[in-house]
Amino acid sequence: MKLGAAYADVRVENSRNETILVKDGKVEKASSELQHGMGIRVLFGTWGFASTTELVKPSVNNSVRTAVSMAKAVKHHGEGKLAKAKVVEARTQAGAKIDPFEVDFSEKIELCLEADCRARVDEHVKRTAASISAQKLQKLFLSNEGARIQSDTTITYAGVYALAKKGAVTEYYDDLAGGTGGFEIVQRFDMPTRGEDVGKRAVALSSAKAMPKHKLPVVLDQDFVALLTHEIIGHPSEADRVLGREAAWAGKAWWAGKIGQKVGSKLLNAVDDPCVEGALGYYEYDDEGVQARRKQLIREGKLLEHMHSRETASEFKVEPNGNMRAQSFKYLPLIRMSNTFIEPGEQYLEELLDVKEGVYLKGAKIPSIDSRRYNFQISAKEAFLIRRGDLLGPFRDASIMGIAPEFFSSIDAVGSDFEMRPIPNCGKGDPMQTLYIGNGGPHIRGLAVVAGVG
Amino acid sequence: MLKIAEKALELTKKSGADEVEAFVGENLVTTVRIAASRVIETKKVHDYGIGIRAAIDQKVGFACANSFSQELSERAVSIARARPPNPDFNGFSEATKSKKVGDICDRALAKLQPARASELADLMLQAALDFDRRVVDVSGALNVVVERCAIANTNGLAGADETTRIFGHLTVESRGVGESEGGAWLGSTSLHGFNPSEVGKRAAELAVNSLGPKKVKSGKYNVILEPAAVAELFYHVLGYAVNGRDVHDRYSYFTDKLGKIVASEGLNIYDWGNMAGGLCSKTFDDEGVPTRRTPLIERGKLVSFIYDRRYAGKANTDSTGNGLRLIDMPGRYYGVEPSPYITNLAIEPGDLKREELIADTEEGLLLSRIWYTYPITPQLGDFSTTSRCGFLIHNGEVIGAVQQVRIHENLPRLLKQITGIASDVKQIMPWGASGAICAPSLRFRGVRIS
Repeated sequence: MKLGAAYADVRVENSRNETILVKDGKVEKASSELQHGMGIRVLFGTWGFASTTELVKPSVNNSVRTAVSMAKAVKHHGEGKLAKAKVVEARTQAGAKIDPFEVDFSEKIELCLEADCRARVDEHVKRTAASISAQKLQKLFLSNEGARIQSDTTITYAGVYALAKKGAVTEYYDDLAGGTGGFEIVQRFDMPTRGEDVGKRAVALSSAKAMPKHKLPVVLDQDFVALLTHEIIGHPSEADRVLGREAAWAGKAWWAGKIGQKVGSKLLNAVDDPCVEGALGYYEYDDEGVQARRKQLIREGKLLEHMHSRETASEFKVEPNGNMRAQSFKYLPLIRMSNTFIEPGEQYLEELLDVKEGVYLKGAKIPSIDSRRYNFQISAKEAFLIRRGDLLGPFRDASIMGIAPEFFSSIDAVGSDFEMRPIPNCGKGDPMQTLYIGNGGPHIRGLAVVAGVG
Repeated sequence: MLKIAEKALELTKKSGADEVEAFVGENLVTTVRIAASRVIETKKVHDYGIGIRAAIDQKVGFACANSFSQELSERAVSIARARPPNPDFNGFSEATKSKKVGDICDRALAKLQPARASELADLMLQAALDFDRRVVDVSGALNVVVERCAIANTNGLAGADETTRIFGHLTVESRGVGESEGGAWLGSTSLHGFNPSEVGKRAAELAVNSLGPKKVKSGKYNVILEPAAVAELFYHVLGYAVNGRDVHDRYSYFTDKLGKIVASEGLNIYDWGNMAGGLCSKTFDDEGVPTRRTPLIERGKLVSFIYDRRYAGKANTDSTGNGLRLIDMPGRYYGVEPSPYITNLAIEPGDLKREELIADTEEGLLLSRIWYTYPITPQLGDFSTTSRCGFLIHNGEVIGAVQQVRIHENLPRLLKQITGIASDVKQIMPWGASGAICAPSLRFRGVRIS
């Protein structure tokens, strides 16, 4: 502050990570990572930021000078106004019932080996994998306004994978569980059983027919809805995108300027909520020290709220709502989703499937979305044809194509069977930051083009 | 750094390891972000650390930290002891002398003052704003990356490397008859090789030329992808297909295709880790294997894949010098074990100038930039993408801009439908990429547009 900054904050972190990866019955990776460091952010109308892994006085002083000199060297500064946020002194903990680092390393390896083995259900399974990862993160946030927030978080996740080949057809299937919490997440996931399941599904898909092209009602399961929500509700709700600040990278938002307007059917209700305990995007304070809270992004099809930093909240003349997060101390925080989901409705899956003709898509695979989050295509792990409630299939290599507002308006049924899914690799920023996110929803039904192979 | 690596070897051996490899990395990443036609963020990351692989009877433990200590050695050894052996472990690299690679480290860039980076970004921005009054919004970034590393192992390998690169990109929006956008990307391993104003001018010119876009009908088109679009497509949809890990894992659509014709006869592609002036060139990879030029596709035939030591062993071949330690942050990251990654994926240029390729196209589309291009069915090579800047070609002339189109296609099919390769090669690193693509404009026949 002595150097003239309008605002300054510091994040100091200490983290411990552990990863075990078994592939094809062999331990491919057994690793332990310790990281510490500090990031300092200063505001001179333009943000200056510097981070270092050397927590000694000369390096810290050098980082401060670097952050200040870079910001000061900019010719044209913005207003750099920050919305007021309550200055907090707090200590939070999102701990583990069973500390994953206290579980014997060899026990975790054995579990991965067993899950990997169980995935090899028959000779058609050609590749398998199982993994467990855990992180303990201690953070300290300090600001010149007097904020002092300490947080301790444990994150654990586990995954299983199988690839099968029959004749010329190769198909794969995977499953992942994860969230804030400890080894109890791995135990609940039941890796050996899930391993066997992904093996069976990969084999079934490798003898399935390719999905033909249709424009039909589609029923999407929770895993598919999680990715759909992530891509076409979560990302365009980030206020920096809405303002066009991400135009060169992640892109913009087609619904910019449409707060208060109808963007979908009355059955569409969407929320971003960092306070969902156990979800992968759980936190109590964001990386600007703002208290996290639930946000109703869309209610009954009407666009209500975006996700904000203190800076964008000032521009929108709203209160900051706690969505600034950084991958680690090395990065400047950005507006990010926490746990973004479609709220459950009241219908049973059987009711959603009760259509004359349709397609049921299960499990999300890979998305391709345009730069305004308007035109989308997302592939599914498996698909079934629906004939008056009966399912035919599975079919392989299906994807849906749609235009976001048209798809939102077509939603005519929403299930009650809500699930939250972990998304551990959401990318945004320059340099790219990969973040833990929770996404979810119930089964939903809408209208989209179902595309087959390219 | 090398002394620290050698000290780590000694202490990890004493802790009980049979074989040891120590990798020390230091990355300095300076970024200046532009949005809403002004510089909004200036950032500098200093990341330093050491990663140790300790092996006992084919059991390898990996541990890393931001500084070296006896505890780090002991942690790597204790992990090795706690796990079963992996028969695929084929030891660490032999002590090999790597040859110097030209133009990969520039002292002026390594010493660039952070405040100077802010000034260079301002020059990019100003060039775009000054280009035309129809330019209404500019966003993008300037990045300067300095990578330093040292590696040593118990086979006697000892080496140090330093590389630099600077790259800038802008997305420019224009308003006239409707709204449009253009983009440009420019990178160099030296400060004198980087012209910030050129980035601004190119992006602004494209944005202005893209005004008044017309809708195109769905159907099959001859499509010329310009270098930025080729880089996006090949990085995301070809990069994994030539990766020995993904071939072994049967995730690549080139699995079982070695020696087969997979592309039009004119296509030659290399991974070129020791290319002079290459944005991702290195003297040696992150296992200490000298980098090299590896032919991947020659005259349309698939002739090799890229490997690190682990996957080379599984395929009974040698490492191609592609064992790299990479994450999202630019730089060679001490905190992960090596895996195969592309370095500079170089497409051999053709004889035609870009303008001649266009003149040779009776009807078609010219796409300058595509976006969010991912393999939605990776084992088949199916991908989906949308255009961000495109033009219609009629009778060999560009006659106007086109609105956004979606392409849902199959790259293995398109590789066999390349009907023209231009000479306009540019080095480009797509957003978030860890490798570079040296891409000329390519023309494809029968691309399905919707």
